[in-house]
Amino acid sequence: MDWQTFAQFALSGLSTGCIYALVALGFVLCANATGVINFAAGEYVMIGGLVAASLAGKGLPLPLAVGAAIVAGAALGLLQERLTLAPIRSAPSFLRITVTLGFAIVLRGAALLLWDKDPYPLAGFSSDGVFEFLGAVLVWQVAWIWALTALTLLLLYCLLMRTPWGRAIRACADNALAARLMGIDPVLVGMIVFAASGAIGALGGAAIAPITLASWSTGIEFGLKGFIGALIAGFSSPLRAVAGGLAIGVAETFAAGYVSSGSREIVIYSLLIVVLIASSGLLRRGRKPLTAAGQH
Amino acid sequence: MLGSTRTQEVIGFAIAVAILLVVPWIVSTDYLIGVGITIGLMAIAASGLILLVGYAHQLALGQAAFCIVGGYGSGLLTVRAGIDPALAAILSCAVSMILAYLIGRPILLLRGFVLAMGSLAVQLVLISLAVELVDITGGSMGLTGVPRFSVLGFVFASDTSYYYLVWTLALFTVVICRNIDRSRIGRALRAIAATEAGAASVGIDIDRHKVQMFVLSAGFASVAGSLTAHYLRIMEPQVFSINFSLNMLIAVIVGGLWSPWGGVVGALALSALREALRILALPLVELLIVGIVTVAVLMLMPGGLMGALARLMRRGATQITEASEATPETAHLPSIAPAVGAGQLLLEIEGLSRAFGSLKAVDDVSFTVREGSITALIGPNGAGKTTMFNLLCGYERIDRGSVRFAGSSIENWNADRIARHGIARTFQIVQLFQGMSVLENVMCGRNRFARTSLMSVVFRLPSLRAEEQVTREKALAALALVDLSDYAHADPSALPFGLQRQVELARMLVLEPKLILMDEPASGLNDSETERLGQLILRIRAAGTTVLIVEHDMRLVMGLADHVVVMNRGGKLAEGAPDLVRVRPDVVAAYLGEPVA
Repeated sequence: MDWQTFAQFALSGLSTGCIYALVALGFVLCANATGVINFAAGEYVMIGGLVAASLAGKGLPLPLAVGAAIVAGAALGLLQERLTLAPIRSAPSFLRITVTLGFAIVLRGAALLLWDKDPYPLAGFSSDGVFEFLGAVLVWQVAWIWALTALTLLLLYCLLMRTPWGRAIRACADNALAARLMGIDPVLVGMIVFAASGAIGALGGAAIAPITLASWSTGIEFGLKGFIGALIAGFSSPLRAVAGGLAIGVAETFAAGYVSSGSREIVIYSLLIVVLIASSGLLRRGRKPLTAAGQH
Repeated sequence: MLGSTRTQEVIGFAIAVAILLVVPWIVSTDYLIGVGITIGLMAIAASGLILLVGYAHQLALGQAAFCIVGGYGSGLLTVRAGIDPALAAILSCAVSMILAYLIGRPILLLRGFVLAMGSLAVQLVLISLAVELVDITGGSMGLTGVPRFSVLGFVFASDTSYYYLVWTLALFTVVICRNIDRSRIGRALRAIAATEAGAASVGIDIDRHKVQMFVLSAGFASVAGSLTAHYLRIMEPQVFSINFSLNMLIAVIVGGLWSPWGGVVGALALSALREALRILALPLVELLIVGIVTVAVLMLMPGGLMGALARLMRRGATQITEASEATPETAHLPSIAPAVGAGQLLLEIEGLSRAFGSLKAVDDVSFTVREGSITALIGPNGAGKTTMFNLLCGYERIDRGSVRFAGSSIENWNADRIARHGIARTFQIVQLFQGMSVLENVMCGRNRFARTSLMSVVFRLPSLRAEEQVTREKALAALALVDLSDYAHADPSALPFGLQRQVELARMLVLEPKLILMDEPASGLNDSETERLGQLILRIRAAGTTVLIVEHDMRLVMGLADHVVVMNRGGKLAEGAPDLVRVRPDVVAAYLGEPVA
């Protein structure tokens, strides 16, 4: 196989992979700190793309439009936590997780009502030209995606490792009960992680919109791939989740690139199923044993 | 669980049948009959989700994958191969169920709602396949020429006749859901939902039960798919879209996840909402409203419409007391598994170790338990006693060492398998199944003796009823043994703590174990309760069951045990007869914290 095609596939895979990585981050943050698998995580990508694209289309400067998308993501994340999760904090986890599915439908329904079915274009963040890297030809937006993902990771790292909020989040992820006994407020932690995952997803949506267009129905796919990215990384640390998301992105472009474009979807989703089944074999060995004390 | 009596069930069913029979006489327009058929088809598929989501607590975002298998299966078999529609539907259903098994078996081993996304991926593959394989499926133009449905030559030529067929099947799915809910499988699933650790301790195979529900629900979805293809007479890839999957889920949430009627009621309610919005000419708002309704139902009345109805009826009716059970006159111990041979080694632990990071919770411990003995495992707090129990019962991974029990090496078996093999345990923190009566809790313990098939549960065959009767009697006998006969129908969480322990004990006894592991059974008991517990343990042993007990109450331990094993800081400190162990200086030092000389 020739190097140029390989590099082309690998590097463009890394760009969509970045978005999956951001969604995977959202999944892992919420799941570890609050025990809730947020099935609305992919919808924030959709919201971010639509907010940025429609505001930029109305003539707002691009940085402001993207900023507004991030703020919208954070606000909706906060709203999700406050309205649909905080009131049922003591309900069985099955219910709290199912509610996130309902909220995903609310977000999708709201998007359909506000933006209708037509996809929205968004101009590239800098030039619409291309650059060459390791023999691959890539649009400049790809570089933006990499840079923004890296920046997000850096900021998140600072949040988690350098601030008291971050300590609280990590404590909750480690042992929610012990954290609460130490006076850490689980309400605050829940609000932070949901707002953060909303903002992170929305940023991803704004960043990918110039390449894929923004549309009300794209959230499911980002959610699915981000989820599997998080899963193959064992739903554990944020960094591994990012690696998982990137891996899904690269695997997807390879699978799609080396087969005919018609069966692209079939190959991609079959691959996801294979990954799921294979990871069940892998993860099973390290499967969390049934905790006798964990009564709920 | 919702406490509806048999009379209420029969009346409810009769009302439903009457309404469904009458509808075609009142609404004469083809459009409305068509709506009725569509609702019925959705109800069939949604009832499957009652089993999967409601009973097994597993979300599936792509459940319509199996509608696609059913629809295209029936379409292709009838159009391309000329097979009889009824046979084609049955074959497609079998394919769906096999597919569900192949996917569900590995994926359901993963905790944490992985099936939700896994099924979505499956559905996306199937939709793409249907679009791409143009030569076979007709691609996005659809597979045309699907014949009308027929059974043994009888063609359902009119929409009205098809309406009756679809709704007969829909009601049948309700009956199946109800049969499962009332059976050992329903109890096992509720036990799993309440506490997986507790469920495993009575030998319930968690993964197997979830897979069973997934396979059955796939069958329901497949039948709905087949009947849809024969109704539309054409099968297109977009008939069963992601939206259809979500609608199925929303239907059961709104209808009531924990009622056999949830699928039917939800399909009706959702369709009514949609028609209302259509009349108001607000198509774009629909998704938003449906989403808001879903969230609101989950938060405000998680039992859905049927749950709300059940609450209303309970408020209206006075407490209905079930006919009192005939308590077996002679309450004797349940028959105990045949002995390996008195005094022989039943449990042999060799070099067992488990570390958590740098903490060696159990470090190279060896001891044996003789058949028919009462062995006590004692030691100060943090000695590793509970970890030892968790290792023996499969609740923690073993790092090193071996465990032989009644001739088998059981190290690193799953907890439920160990329980089925004859080791029963109680927990330091009582693990009862909330939402079930005391009797049902104990009946869960008989799960490992179930010999009837899934099919006999689904159709509630006489063999299943006979088995249920035996289960009930054994459970009542065990309750009598621990003096809880009066509380058989009580809610266990309403009982005082001491009695909750007794329930757990009864649940363990009906397992008919060879070895019983009790983790601090006397903690939280008062003096007289402790004394009763001691007598009970002696009776259990007298009936031939070996007992291994972790306990801090030294009076109890020294009075009961034939053999004492002392642990300290993860290691074994001493073992021997109680009188000898008690006076050893190192044992005293470990308890009192004095330096060992």
